[in-house]
Amino acid sequence: MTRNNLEAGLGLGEAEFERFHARTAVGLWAYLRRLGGDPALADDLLQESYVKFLGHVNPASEEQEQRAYLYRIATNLVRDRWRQAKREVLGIGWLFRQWEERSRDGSVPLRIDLESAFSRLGPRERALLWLAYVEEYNHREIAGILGLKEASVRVLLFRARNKAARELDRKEVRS
Amino acid sequence: MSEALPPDERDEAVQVAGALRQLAAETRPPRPLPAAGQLWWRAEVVRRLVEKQEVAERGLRPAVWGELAAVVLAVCVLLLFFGLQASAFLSALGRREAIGGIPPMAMMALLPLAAASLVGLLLGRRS
Repeated sequence: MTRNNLEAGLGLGEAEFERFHARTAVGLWAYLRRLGGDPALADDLLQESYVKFLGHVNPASEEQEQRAYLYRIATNLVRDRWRQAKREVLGIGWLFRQWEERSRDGSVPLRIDLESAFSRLGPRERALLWLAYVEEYNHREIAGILGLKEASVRVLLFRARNKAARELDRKEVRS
Repeated sequence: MSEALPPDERDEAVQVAGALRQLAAETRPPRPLPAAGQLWWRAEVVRRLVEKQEVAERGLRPAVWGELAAVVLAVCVLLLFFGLQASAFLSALGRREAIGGIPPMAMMALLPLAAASLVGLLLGRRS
């Protein structure tokens, strides 16, 4: 089988995907890391997200749409893992892993303030704020990624921002 | 974030955005991420496996439909037989005589077997 035949099967060709990956991988890893709270989980979900993305992406869509689609897949995968973790009878293992991770990262004082302020937010609030202020998506795109109504995003984002600002004030995060 | 905010919310948004961007800048993978080529090939392998599975399922489809048709036919024949022969069958059972050469006790034994086969086939299809 030739390379051209192979590339016809996936949404993006190898070279095109390489360029897309170079522009998105680190940002997506950071999103998964902050949303899921675990670097190992972020590693796994990053790979899974790209594999699913390649299998289903519309090659004719714009890059911004493709990025939003990638983030939607990643968000759904994190959501699935949470559901799975909740279903586990010995879910205590998951909690210990989270706790160990937080303890390891606590070695740098500046980061612990910012991180703990962010980690006090709910998962949806974290996702909303990250997509809005780090990835700079608009309300419509965020609604698409998180599976919410556009009007709800405005309200939820307002609440999340208020809560984050209160947490930041409380922690007196140094810039 | 492209949406315009009222002035009172703007300061808060700037504060939160600044903190988040700082956190994002500090959030870097501790080890190199998997290469794009590696991920692309993994996706290609998954795609080929899925395609293979779909082809296999397509090949099995006539057999599955044939099996279902056989079950439906068997049920129809059974119902037809009992519809036409029920009274003769029951009276023969009472007299312990044969109907058309088949001993009634053997027919009694065939009934649960047929029912069990039917249930088994339907459950097998569902799983």
